[in-house]
Amino acid sequence: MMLRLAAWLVLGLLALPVVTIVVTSFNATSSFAFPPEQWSLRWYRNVFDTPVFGSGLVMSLWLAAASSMIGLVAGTMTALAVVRYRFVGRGLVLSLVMAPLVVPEVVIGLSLLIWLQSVRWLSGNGAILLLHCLVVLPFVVRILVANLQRTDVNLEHAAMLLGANPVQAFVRVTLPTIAKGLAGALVFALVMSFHNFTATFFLVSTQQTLPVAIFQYIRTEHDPTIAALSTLLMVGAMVIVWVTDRLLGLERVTK
Amino acid sequence: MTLDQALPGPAGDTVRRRPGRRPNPVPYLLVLPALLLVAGLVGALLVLSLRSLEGAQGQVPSLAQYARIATSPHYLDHFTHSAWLAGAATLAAAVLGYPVAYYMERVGRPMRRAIMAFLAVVFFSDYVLRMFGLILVLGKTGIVNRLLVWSGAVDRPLSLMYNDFGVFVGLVSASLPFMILAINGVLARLDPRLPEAAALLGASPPRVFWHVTLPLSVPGIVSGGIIVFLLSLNSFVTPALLGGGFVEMVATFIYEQAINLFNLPLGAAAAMILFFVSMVLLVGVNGLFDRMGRRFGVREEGR
Repeated sequence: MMLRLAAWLVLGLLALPVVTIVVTSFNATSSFAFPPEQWSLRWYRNVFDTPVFGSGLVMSLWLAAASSMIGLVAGTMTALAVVRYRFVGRGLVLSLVMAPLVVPEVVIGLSLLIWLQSVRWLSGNGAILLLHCLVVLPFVVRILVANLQRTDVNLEHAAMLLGANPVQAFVRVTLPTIAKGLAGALVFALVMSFHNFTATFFLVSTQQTLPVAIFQYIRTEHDPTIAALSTLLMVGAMVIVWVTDRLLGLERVTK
Repeated sequence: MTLDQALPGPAGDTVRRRPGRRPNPVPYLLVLPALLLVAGLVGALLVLSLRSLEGAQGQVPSLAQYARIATSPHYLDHFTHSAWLAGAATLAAAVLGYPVAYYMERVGRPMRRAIMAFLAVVFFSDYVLRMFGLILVLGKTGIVNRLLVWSGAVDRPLSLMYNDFGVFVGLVSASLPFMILAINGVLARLDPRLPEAAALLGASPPRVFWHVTLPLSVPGIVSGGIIVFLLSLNSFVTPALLGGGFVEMVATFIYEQAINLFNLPLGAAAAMILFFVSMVLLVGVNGLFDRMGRRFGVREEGR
């Protein structure tokens, strides 16, 4: 009984900011007073009337799509090598690929910024794209390693015995069996790239990503526009959780 | 999300080994694209360490920047203050997270899934926006102050943010999902026969919890604790938004020095210190945690 009370209290505290955001987004005045005295949808209109959010969304979506595709291809190849082959340096490769997850984000951000300043051929957006590929890579590798370990390599061998070349065997046999894992990794990659803030914040110049635009807005303006935008994004997050659950099973992903 | 958990176990019988032949080039070709990406990071870290070794007049190598940080109480304060806040947040997250993790194990599958989905929504929602939610909650006209004033507990609204307290709340709130999932992961793998045996031997439920379940879940608390401590120590958004410029942590200090004050070498030195502290904690505490895991008979398996 005490346990249930304590657990729900903590979950309630976690939910409180979310509930407050949703309620505040319908506040008619430009204050953050809770609960609001009058209700309105004006802040939702204001979201669409603020150009940085639109351009930020486009930039973030473009980055997420590009880095996820690159990360997915590179990550799948790495997962294949690690699961199917035992080779010298296998452990080192795994640690290196997981490195972006353990190096502090400020350190990654600042080091890429200095790198960007000293290397001529790397443009600002190129550095941001590289950063997002690095952010995405560990998640893709982890999900696909787990997925590939559950597949049976004998299926591929059987296909090759029946006359398929290795590439055909991979595309026609292995790929369909890890399709769910690939889709799940893609979702995870898109989300991780879309939400990356701290490291990206060091690298953005003129073209802001959506989280950077939101951060700047919070620091300069004080009205519920961000609450409205967040409510919209939260609906998006729920759809993503639902899709991920369908594809991978939540228990497996959140571990 | 530590390195240890990320490493899968041995590949087992799916390994193709060709004894006596030269090494198979295929795996190396497969890991090449990923390694090229990571090379970008490794190169950047090397350049960062070079910049941190720049002296006041640009001479290299020099430990002047590190000496400046080590001898300035003002600079050092950012590090100790961050460590203190991160430690407090870790402790609070463990105390608050444990009941939820334990509760998830005791309720039925549908409720467990519902809580898991809720934590996933929190995890998948934007970090900046979650901190914004806390600004709304903790503000002068936010729900907490409204309730305090309405109940007569205080006369006028309290300052709950733009100070250490606000940053602390932000760090705890951001860490809780990680802590809950880390503890729950260990509790879920715990052999149910152990608490059962203790109960059969006459231990009361509180005794079973304090002497069997809680000690067995220590590995989860430790692994969750490392993640939470490091996330808090390196946090940038929380002090930037909930500290409102009044609370300086290492990450905001690095940004301030490197970007706003154009003092790249000093920022780079601070970043290198943060990098080494993180790595030492991760590797050191993980080793400790492995030994502890063996002692308690719970081996973390590669997930």
